[in-house]
Amino acid sequence: MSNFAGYLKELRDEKRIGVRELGRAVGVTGMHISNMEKGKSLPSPALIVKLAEALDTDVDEMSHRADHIAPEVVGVIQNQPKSVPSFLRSAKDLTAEQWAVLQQQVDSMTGGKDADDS
Amino acid sequence: MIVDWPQLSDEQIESKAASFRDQALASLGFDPSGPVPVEQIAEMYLGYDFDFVEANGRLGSDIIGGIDFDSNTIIINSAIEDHIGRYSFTIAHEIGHHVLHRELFLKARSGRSIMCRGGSKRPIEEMQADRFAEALLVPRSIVVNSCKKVKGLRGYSKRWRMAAAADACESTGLNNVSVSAMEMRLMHLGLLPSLNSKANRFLKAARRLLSK
Repeated sequence: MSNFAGYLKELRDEKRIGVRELGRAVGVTGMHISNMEKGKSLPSPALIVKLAEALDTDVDEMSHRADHIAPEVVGVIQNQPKSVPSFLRSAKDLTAEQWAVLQQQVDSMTGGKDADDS
Repeated sequence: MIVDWPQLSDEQIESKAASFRDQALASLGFDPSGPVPVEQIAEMYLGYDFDFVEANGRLGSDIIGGIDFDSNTIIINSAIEDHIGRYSFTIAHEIGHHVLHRELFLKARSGRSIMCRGGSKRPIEEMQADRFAEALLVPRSIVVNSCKKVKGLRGYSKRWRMAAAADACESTGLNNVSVSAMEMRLMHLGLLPSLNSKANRFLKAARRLLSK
């Protein structure tokens, strides 16, 4: 079972949502939800966004579990095709603490606005 | 495999379904006055997994559901998923097998087997699971409190019966129950006359005579 499969089932159980009910909430069949929970299929990036919303969870975490990059993040990379990859290469060895400091600096530059607000 | 299924009266099945539902809803924290969440009961209370299969696959084309006690799986014909009433009734029916038949089945079986819902023949254990499903999905107290008894000859008219059942689905808020399952429930609770009654047989005979 993939990382995503167990994660989806765990979240659904936690929220006490039925398999068909979740399917209806995100516009797919219960069969599709069931197959994802068994690791037989993976969600599309667009479906991950809907699932995260229906299950009230973090879309980035869910994308990560499904080995996806959220569509909005892909958009950021595509809008800055040189500087974002270059920045990420430079920052690849930063520690979690350093990332937190960096995030604070970015927040102070943008006034706390993230991609969702733009 | 031959199993000596127990003879259970309607009242016994009714009582088992009601106490099972009360325990399950209390354990899961669901409102007992709303639609009975059979998906959650099967998965989160009893620990079954769902396996959706295409018609003609693991199940025969006329089979709409099944239960596999070995793998703790409820198998559902994916074709019924769009019909909430049939879907819920099928799960409730399989829960009925779990509550009424699982122990006997496991003692008696001589190999891996699956109990299936569907087909044209209705053996006793299937009829018991149907009766359980109906009682699980449509709590007696909810229906009796919100529906009136249909009296007189109109109670035998298919149109009136279906209208009464549709009204009952609406007034009880039990939105995961099909109109035909509700009709059956109303009849079993005495709110619609039985189609096997003398009066109905008389009406049928009279119609036949008049049509000649």
